[in-house]
Amino acid sequence: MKTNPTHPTPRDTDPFIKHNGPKAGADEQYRRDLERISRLLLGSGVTGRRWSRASSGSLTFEAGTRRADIQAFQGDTFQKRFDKLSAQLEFLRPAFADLGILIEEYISQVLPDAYDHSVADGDRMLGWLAERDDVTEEQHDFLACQRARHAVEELARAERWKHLRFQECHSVVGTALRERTSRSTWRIQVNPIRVWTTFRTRRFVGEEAELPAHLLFFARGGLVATAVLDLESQVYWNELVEFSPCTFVQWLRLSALPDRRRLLKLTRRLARMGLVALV
Amino acid sequence: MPTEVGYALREQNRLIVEREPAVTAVEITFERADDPLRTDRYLQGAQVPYVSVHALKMSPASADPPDRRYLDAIRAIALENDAQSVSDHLGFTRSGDGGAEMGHFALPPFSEIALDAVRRNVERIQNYFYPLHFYLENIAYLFRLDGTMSEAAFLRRVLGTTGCGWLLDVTNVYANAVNFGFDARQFIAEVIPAASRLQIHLAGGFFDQQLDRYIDSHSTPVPEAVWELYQDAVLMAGDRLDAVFIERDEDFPADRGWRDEVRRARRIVNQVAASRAARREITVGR
Repeated sequence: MKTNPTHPTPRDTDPFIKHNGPKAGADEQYRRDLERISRLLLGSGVTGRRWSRASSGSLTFEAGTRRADIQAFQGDTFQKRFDKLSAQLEFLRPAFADLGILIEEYISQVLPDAYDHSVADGDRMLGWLAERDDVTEEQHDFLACQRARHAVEELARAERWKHLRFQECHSVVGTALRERTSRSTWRIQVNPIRVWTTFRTRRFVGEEAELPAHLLFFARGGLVATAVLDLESQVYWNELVEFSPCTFVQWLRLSALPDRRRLLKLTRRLARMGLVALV
Repeated sequence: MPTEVGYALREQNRLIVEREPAVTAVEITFERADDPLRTDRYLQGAQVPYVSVHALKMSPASADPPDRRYLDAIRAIALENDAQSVSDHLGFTRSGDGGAEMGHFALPPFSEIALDAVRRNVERIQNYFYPLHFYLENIAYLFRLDGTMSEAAFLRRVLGTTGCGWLLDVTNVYANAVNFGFDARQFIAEVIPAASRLQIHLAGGFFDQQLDRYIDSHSTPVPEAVWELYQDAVLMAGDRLDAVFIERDEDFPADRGWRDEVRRARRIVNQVAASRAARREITVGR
């Protein structure tokens, strides 16, 4: 690394404490000015009253500024957001034929939040769509599916180290499964990045599924995977979530249905799916 | 230290970054690398001596400081990828705490109060990221807010008082010079003495006839006028120039196109360094 002799040394005090000095009044004015300009730049057009409001006040555009330039900025800002939402929510298109119009409507009604990260705006739009009165059962399932994916990402963001640790442990699951002698000492860890969701139709769960159907969404490597567990497996799974981390033998002892063969089979299945790691 | 040359990393140039010998630097755009499910480092197998993380939302010209969690996330990416530096733009993307995000940089007014805010935020950012170096990039703009000083004077004062590096986006200077009728070379010459260290961005845009503006779209090869300006900037920067990054976001070139541009950028750096060394030898010989 290159050295930086002119760089200031780190301060002991928290550098994030807000400025409270004698210039606080001027800072507040500056904050208000930027707020006004930001909202104008997020708008969809600059005409009549909006323009005169933008051109007055303590902070204004430089003399000679063309409306066309402001509108180009607004258009670019709109287009970037529209393109990002379109790409993120492409999955919804089979259920929402007018997705483009809905995105435009959403953009005009909901401002993006500061520091919105990758899926935050898209997730907010899913919530906005879900609140509409005219959402069909099938559309509900499309929204639930996409929201569950986002929820898995959010969880992985909040629990990044747990996610990395689990995936690292899971990367050697194949070896553990091949070693027959170590079964009783397997330490079972449940994937911490998982979210349940409920579907009201059979669109994503097949014709045989009972409704409402419960699906488990979880992180598998760098992707989001899904699992459908039958009722018996769900009982075992809930036990495992409660007991984990535990050894296979401990689980067998604590289980309400201590069938060694079935538990072993289920453990293998969960491990292959990426829902548990065997350490 | 030698000047490193490379690309702003995109999926479309990953292979070039890994295999082209002329590439010795990579710039990671934080917002692209910020994937919470990712289990390996964003750079994957690429081994380059110089890595920088480029952020879009620190908003140094905002009235309030950048959010701590946002900085934490940038630092995590920087550490994972062995970065030497972090950068962001001289502009604001939101008004303040809790404000709406524009998703696009706007130029601050070139006023004393804005200067105070920028200096304060840059110092906070530098303190936070230390010992990583922080570089502030000049942006391309379509309009300006009323102020009391020129952009060059504003930038010079920010750089001079904070000691942060200048991420000189040569194409942005070129675009602004075309659109607002000033001398791009003079602008660079005016600001560069205040920079303790530099990085350079190069990109290509197009002239929008309808809007009557040059648009820095990162969608075309670097234009000749920008290459000339770049050569001048490399000469003026001297040994303070740490890295050069070429940016491309649309209409990606084929393998040859990627390689030609990065080789040309390196050739110019090498030529300038060689002529500087020759001049030094002559001086010593006297």
